[in-house]
Amino acid sequence: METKVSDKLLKHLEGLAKLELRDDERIELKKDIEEILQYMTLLDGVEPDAYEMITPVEKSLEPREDEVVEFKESILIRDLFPEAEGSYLKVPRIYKEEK
Amino acid sequence: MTKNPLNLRLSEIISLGDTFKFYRKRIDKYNNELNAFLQVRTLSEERQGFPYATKDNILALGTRTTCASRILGNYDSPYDATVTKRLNSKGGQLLGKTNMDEFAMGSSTENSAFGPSRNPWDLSRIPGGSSGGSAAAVAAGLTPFALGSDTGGSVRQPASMCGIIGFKPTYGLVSRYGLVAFASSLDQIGPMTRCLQDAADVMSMISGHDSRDSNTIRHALSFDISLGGNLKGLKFAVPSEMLSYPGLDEEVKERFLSTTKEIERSGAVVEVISIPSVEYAVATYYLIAPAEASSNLSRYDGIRFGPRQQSEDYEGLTNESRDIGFGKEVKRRILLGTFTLSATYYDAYYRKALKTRRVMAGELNKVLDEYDFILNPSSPVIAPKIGEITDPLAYYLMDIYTIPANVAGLPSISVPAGFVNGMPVGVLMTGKRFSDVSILDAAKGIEDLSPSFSDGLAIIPERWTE
Repeated sequence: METKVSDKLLKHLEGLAKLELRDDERIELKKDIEEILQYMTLLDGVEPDAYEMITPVEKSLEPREDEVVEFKESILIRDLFPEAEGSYLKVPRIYKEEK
Repeated sequence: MTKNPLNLRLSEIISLGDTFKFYRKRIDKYNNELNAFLQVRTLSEERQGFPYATKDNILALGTRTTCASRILGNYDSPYDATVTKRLNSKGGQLLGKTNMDEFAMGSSTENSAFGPSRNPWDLSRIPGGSSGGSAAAVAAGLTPFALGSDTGGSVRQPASMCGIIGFKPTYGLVSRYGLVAFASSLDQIGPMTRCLQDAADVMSMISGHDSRDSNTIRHALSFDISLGGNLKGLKFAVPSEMLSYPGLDEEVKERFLSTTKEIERSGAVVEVISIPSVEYAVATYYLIAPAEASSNLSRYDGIRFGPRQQSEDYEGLTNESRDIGFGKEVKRRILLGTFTLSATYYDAYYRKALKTRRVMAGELNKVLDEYDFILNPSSPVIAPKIGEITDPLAYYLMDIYTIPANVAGLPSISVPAGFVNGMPVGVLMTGKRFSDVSILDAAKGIEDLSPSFSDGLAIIPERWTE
């Protein structure tokens, strides 16, 4: 198992995780993650002959009926908007200026 | 009020009907020292019914649900969680919301953005975590019971460190609708109480199928019972790997072995067996849980709720909002989960962990075909001092005893079993899926022989009984 995290990889992970770390945070978290990955090498010798278990639920669950239910507190969700115009959620632009 | 509610079981507190003010005043008196509650409800109006508390990752209308995080610091619950709704429909009155590690990531409450809670048995020590505020509140008699959430031991470990009962039901028995998700294949809500009968009584109110949580099962279990506590004839398995774990404190081990002797004297059989895969429990869990968390926490982006950092574009706004909103442990786990889910490392880490999970669940279930319950200490150590442990891996390794039940979705309970150096320790019982009623009944047998109880209730440290 890989246990080293290069600066380039960490920067890539930051992008995927939508984080923007400070330099001091970056140094500390890199060290912690490498230590944790070192511990994960415990699994190096393990080659489980099993298929993946993604949930403890063994039986297939019965889906519920698809039905429209009025959510009475929608105003409370709108009240949480960081920025709004009327009842609309105001969002930032998603394009960047060409440089 | 002629009776002191601190000496009463939940059923008696329910029948009294006017104890809200009593507990609310105790919170006013003691919470400054314990920091168990992050918010409390007002005393201004008359509240009839039985009081309770929930961890601050469970939604309740009229309260904030912060998950002890800056990123949800102003998040007003827009609806009730199913557990909140069910308790309220039975006459429950929410006292307030309890402190926790941020987004339930931690074992001490030191990762709370609002400062750590303190252990009622020694204020210089952690109460455990992540449901540490709930544990401290119940242990100090600030609420008759509280709800916590358990993803890798977050109900049972703090219960053990504070000397109370902590129960993680079978995965799928209690709805998580309205519980802020951490790792969805592992999360489960459970009660924290001062006796086993109270845990059964809370389960009778909160468990059962909920169409809003598709993982809840239609398998109805009745918790409306009087627990017997008969240990005679039961077979307990103690995994040798748990006993030989190098991090297990010698005095905690001695106390545990002394409890197993008493269980044997009550007519049960206790045998040491081997479950080889539990050695991989921590590694497996800390690959799966952060992976799920990195996905679940992607919703906190400063767009629809939470504090928004101003930036010229979407990417800058999101990244800056998340960077300022999340604490260090949360960032650590998001990065770790992002790493293990990334295309290059997915097979070597995440897929392997899921396969190991299957092997571990298989081994645990096989043992439980032969034995009624698996028994081990709840935590390898007593509650550490606040700030004593700074290495994240050291805290992760402390979860070794509680994690297997989450990995396999099994019911598991921590029962107070005496003291080491004046601090509470617990024993952990884990059973087959849906053996929840049997596990509570057998745990009552341990309660009956434990020195941690007086008149059938977990002892409250003298300092908080005035």
